[in-house]
Amino acid sequence: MDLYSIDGEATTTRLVTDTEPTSSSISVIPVQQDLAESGKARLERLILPYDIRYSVFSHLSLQDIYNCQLTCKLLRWATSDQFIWKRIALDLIQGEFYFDIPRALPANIPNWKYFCKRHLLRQRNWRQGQVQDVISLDDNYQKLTTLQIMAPYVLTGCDDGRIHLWNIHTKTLLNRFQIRGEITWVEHLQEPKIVAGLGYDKKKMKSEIRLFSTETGNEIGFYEEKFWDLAICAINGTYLVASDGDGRYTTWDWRTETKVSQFTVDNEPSITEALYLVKNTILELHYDGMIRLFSIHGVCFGRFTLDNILPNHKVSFCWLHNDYSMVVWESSNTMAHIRLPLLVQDRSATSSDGHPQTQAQTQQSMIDRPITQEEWDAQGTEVYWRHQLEHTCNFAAMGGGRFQLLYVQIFENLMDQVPIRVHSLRRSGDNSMDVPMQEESIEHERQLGEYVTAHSLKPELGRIIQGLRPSRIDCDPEYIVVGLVQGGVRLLQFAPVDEELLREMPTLEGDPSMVGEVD
Amino acid sequence: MKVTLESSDGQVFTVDKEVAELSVIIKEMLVIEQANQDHPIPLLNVGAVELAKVIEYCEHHRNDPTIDDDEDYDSRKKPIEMDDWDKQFTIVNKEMMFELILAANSMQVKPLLHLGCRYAADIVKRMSPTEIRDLFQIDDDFTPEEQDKIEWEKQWTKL
Repeated sequence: MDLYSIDGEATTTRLVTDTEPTSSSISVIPVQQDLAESGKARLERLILPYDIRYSVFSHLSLQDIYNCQLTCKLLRWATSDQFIWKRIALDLIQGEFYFDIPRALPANIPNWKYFCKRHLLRQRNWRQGQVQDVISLDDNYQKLTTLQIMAPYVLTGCDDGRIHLWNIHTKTLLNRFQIRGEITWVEHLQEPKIVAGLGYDKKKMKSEIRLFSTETGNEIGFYEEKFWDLAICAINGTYLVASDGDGRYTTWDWRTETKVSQFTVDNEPSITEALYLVKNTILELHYDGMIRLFSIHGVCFGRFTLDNILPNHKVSFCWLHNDYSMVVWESSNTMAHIRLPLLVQDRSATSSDGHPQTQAQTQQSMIDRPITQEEWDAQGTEVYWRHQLEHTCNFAAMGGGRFQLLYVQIFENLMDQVPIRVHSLRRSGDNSMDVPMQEESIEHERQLGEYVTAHSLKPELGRIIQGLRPSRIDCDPEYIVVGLVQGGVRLLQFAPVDEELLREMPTLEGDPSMVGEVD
Repeated sequence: MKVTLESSDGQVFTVDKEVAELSVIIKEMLVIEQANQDHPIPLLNVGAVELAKVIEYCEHHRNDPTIDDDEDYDSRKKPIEMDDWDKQFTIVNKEMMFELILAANSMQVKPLLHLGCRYAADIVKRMSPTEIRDLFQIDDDFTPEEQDKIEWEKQWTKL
């Protein structure tokens, strides 16, 4: 029996013995360097040690790996190791997710090779707008007014004040909460397990915020403002901030249910479009493209225009990622991805002392100081890319990561059967410092080149969601989530349906990459 | 302090201790055999030609900071620094380089191992299966059916 036809389990064992630097490994009987040594024997000698095999093949691209696989059984075996495929998988998804990349395989995925295949098929389907499956989450059939996907959760709010939290893996409703009025804002904090919602009662012209625990299902907080309408909110692990969008703010410590501050900013020329809590600094983006930073107590840290990036003064959508980069969409249909290095810098400055940060330290590591105009001019913003869009839409959402951005639109004029458009964008530019991998590979070149596709969803999908009118939309790399005017949610899945994919995975006798996860 | 190393074909090399200690194996042996350093350390897997080359590498890199070598995802992302000296060093024929990789692996000289593996990967990169076979002088031992299966499977890499 050839040495390399052993199964995946033996590969694991070898990993341990090979990497363990015991003194015994040096006294192995010397390999006979016969002059007549065959090419195969020589190659076998070279790639038998796990460290060498791993180190050589982890430099190769997916195409290179397959070229090796096609040469002979020995190289097919050598390139079928789970760790090598894990490396390829992680390279593939690099930059696609803002949130953590999976360290272990998801439960429904048997091996990393399968993971890679599923991933590439999913990307292709995105680019072509080919939905593979539609999953329905049906609730009480009231018009959806807010929608958010953060895998594995989908959070929806309806115009009757209901909030629903779904688990998309199990397709089950986890929680249902009730607020008065139409839901205009919802937020789900996975840690510390709360849902916050803002409701506006049109008849009584009153707005209120309620907080719920997703663990117990109980209401844990109620906030309102007597003199003005709450229109826009943000929440983090400690604070809740609400504004009327027109310069009036109230902040609370929701853990102690106490009001922290109340302040007014006069003479702002335009309304607040987006409000965020970056640590404990309030960051807001105005309709005219102005960014304002201030403390939880209302101390202004700075007011800066984004005129050079957003010259049209018509901000309509904004998304802030957890790396403090921001995608802004202007009504004139420019889209820009902006990094705010000042926010990131202060964060890394405090974590560089080598100590793991405690909750308290993290809380203190906010910007929490005035920023001068010079400072802002020098390093306040950095544009990843800007893009001019062709279409006007009345609602949009985005998902994806730094290198690949996915966004979806709902159209005002429903010329298409399904008024949803799917786009993918890759960043352009020459900023190579954020692309640390695969310097010479094709993959890399593609990441730097601008790359845009736009597709209407395929007509056959019309059959599935025909007659249903989308009201809200959101997406992540796996799904487009459509909230409906009729109520309910449709998840449009782009990854191939698992059973089909598995059936299509051919196996060779004794292919160790088909054996499950080994680490 | 000097250390003497003996190659598999009996040649003895004397090097500075900190140079030899770039090899994890030797470093650990020196800890174990602290009291007993008057005889050369035998390297039964490493021939004199390769050992000379490994020592040349270690001499040049004696002052490099040690790198943490784990298989963690992020660590590989750091670009492997290759200075002009390293580039000159890798201008050898491929047989020699393969022997060096094996020597670096058995002596556990991690930076040299990585350098060599990268060199080997660069050779193979973008080669067709036939070119790879020619490179290593190996034969296609698949049946046509197996060949078809892999070709078919390869299709999805071009998505």
